[in-house]
Amino acid sequence: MRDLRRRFPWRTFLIIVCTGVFFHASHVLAREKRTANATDVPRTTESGRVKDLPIHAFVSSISLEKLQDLVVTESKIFQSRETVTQKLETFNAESISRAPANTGNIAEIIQYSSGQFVNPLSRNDANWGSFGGLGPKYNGYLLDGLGIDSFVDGMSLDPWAFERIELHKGPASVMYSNYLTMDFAGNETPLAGITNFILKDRIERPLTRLSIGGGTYRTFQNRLYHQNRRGNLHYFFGINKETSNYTNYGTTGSWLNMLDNPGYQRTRRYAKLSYQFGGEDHNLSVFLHQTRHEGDFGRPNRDFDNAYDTVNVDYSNQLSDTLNLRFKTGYRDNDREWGEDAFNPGATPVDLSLREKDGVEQSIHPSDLTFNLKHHERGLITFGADSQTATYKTYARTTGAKTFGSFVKADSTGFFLQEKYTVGKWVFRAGGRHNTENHSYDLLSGIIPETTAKSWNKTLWSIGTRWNYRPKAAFYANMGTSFVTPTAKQLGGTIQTKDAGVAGKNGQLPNFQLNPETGIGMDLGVDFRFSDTLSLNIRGFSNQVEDAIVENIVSTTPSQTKSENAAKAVSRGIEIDVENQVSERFQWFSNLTYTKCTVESALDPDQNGVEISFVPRYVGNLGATMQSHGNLMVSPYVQFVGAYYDSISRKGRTRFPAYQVLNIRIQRKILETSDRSVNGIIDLNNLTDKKYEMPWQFGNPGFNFSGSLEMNF
Amino acid sequence: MDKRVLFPAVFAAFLCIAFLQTPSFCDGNLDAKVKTAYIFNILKFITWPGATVEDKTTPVRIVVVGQDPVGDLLEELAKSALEGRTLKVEHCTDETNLASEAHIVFISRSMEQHLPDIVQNYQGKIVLTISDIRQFSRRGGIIGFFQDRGRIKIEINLRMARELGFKIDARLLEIARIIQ
Repeated sequence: MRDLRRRFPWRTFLIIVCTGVFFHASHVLAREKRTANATDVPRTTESGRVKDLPIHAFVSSISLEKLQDLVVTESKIFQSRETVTQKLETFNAESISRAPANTGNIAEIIQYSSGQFVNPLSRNDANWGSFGGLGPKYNGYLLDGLGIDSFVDGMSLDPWAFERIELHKGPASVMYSNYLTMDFAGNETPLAGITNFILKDRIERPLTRLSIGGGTYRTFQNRLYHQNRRGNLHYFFGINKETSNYTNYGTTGSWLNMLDNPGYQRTRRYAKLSYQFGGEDHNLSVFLHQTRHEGDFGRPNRDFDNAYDTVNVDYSNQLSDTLNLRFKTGYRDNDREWGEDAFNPGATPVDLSLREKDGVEQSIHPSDLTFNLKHHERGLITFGADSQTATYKTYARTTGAKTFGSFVKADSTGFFLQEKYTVGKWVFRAGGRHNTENHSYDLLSGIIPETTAKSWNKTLWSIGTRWNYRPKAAFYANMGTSFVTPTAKQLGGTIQTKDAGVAGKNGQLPNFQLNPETGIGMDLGVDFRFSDTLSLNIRGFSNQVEDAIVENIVSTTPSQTKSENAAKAVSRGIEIDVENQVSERFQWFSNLTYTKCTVESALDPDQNGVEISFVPRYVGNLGATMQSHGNLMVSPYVQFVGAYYDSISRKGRTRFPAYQVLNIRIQRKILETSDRSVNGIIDLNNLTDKKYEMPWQFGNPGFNFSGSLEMNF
Repeated sequence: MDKRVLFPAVFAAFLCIAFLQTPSFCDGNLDAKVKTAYIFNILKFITWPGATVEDKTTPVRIVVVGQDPVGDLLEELAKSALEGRTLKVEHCTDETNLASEAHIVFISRSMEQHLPDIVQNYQGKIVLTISDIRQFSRRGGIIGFFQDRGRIKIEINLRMARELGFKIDARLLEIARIIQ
């Protein structure tokens, strides 16, 4: 707390909030009551501001869902926001295009939202942030309602395919299962929330987007996107390619020891076909996405080659006035391979010869069958089943043949039931889920383990309520449980126990003693909407995980981690969000998340009372978008991040001090007609050139910029 | 100045300068645009008895009663086909001489004092009546616009719609406030 008081610019934060409220209030008092609400339609599309479009284009751009601003994540069927018990944020095409982006990770789109810390280590690495004060895996990532990997798919998916993003905060462990990824931090659970990336579906008008750009580090990016419809067939496709020399993102003396620029090339291809069988509620869609990401880590034999394939199939049918069916199935295939050389920090002569090629092969096949049944006018029952199968292999290749380190299969089956009922101003939600999960371990860390199979059965529950007290004030509360099994990587690691402390052996050490973790989360919040243009949301949350599986950095050189059960991880926090649209040409937001999270372990004084790794004490965001009459739009976003640690071991942890980052996106409309536009976009990232350290001896390389020319027709 | 304070302070100053800009925020036309978009979208989710409107080659006849920007926008929309559908818009300002042949009748708020007569005129006819007059769907109309938390929403008199033989898609019912 003392740290927060000392480092967070409270005065500035309060001055800005108070100034905004003051000016907003003065505008409200000064102007006549408006007959129209300028915020009740999406404010822009890819090609410009919706509300300014001619009536033909306007009507074409606005679907019924958009008119009503409906959300789909909570009950897997379109619902109005007032019936959602959780705190909800949505990001439409405009907010996606407005936010500055740096590494190209889709998590960056939502990094300025409260309750989370987004921390992609580099353009070639995943987001190691945290959610709900617990760590990086306590938020379920979905693609159109079907699980994806917040680490891998975050680096892979192209945001141009998104219609919007729905961000649900708070426990929601019933409707969606854990995601059985074994890679990175392991199984992801929706204990602290859900982020649903929703793809475009119904195409109302043809549109082509073309972007050509470049920036620092000799970065070049070309993007193409096209959408159209032919009768009942709606489709879009896209392709983009990014190449860069990039720059050294390791800290001084880091094990990354980059001798040259770590260049990369990233290519994405995707397409979606959606067919409507006559009625508006009977659809079949198929989405295919492929990313190839290859490059090197700045040393002769430290190359990498990653291939990510994502498939989503979605069938929905309104069977009757009251019964809706939806079936989804998908396939995710993530293959990563990288070179490991014989480099040993401090050793002479320096040996950079190739030692081996290491790799991970993971495929996951999630499916979901959901029925929604409306009853008694105000009730909605959602029930169904979901399943996942996953295979995970790690290997090393020295002479061409692969030697497998871990080979694990996992599957899960879940049955869920949720009832939501509205009584006057009250919304009640309650549900349960029964999950069965099976693991089989053919190999762990290169050996056949004593226990080759494990199974778990667990019943989870979740409840929530919302009281729409007044049009300007609503209160909500939620509670739910979670259960997470240890993954193959956490059990078997990527290197062997004997490699502990051995120079040049970077990776994760095995820990066969890991137990599953169980969690419970709750929140309580209030949503004020003082006017159409000013809102305030305050949410308090508390999450508690028994036997929490935590990633500990046990050595920085060599870079080695190990998963361990913390006795109990407790996080409590508060989020405050303010959003204000001062005028047609000016809007701003601010939020602050303060979190107190500790490990309670009576048996281990080294862990007892320490902070949970990767969770900053506070994260504050300030952002604004200003538009001049000359069609110049400037969006400065600044983020304040408090200090955090990389381990729950008091002796071995590293403290990462607080920092602030200012990013600015500048957009100028060069040409605009009713059906075409040309925009110039400049991103100024890390304007103050903060070269702060990140876990695993990664570092932010400081200021960089990019510019692009985007054509829409 | 301390670096920790410098940039937030500059940012704060930046914001304050921006706040001082004169707002230009009124846009009454958006209200009409949204209602027009609703009317067009509603067409996709309602089946008329006899299914005349489902045939996209048949123009949808819309009568606008009274002076209203929605009527002007509908007329603009009728100039060319949209998503393969054509509209035929007629204006009527005399409540005593209302067109009887129509798929949709939009009643302007300016005609509120004549609402009982207008509703009486269309009683029993297979006409979808829409209006933004307050509590329209409780006063003899079928679909009414209302504002809720700053957002334009719709309410549907479901009993009346069904009595006239309209079939309303579940998705439209999902988003509407139902009046029985």
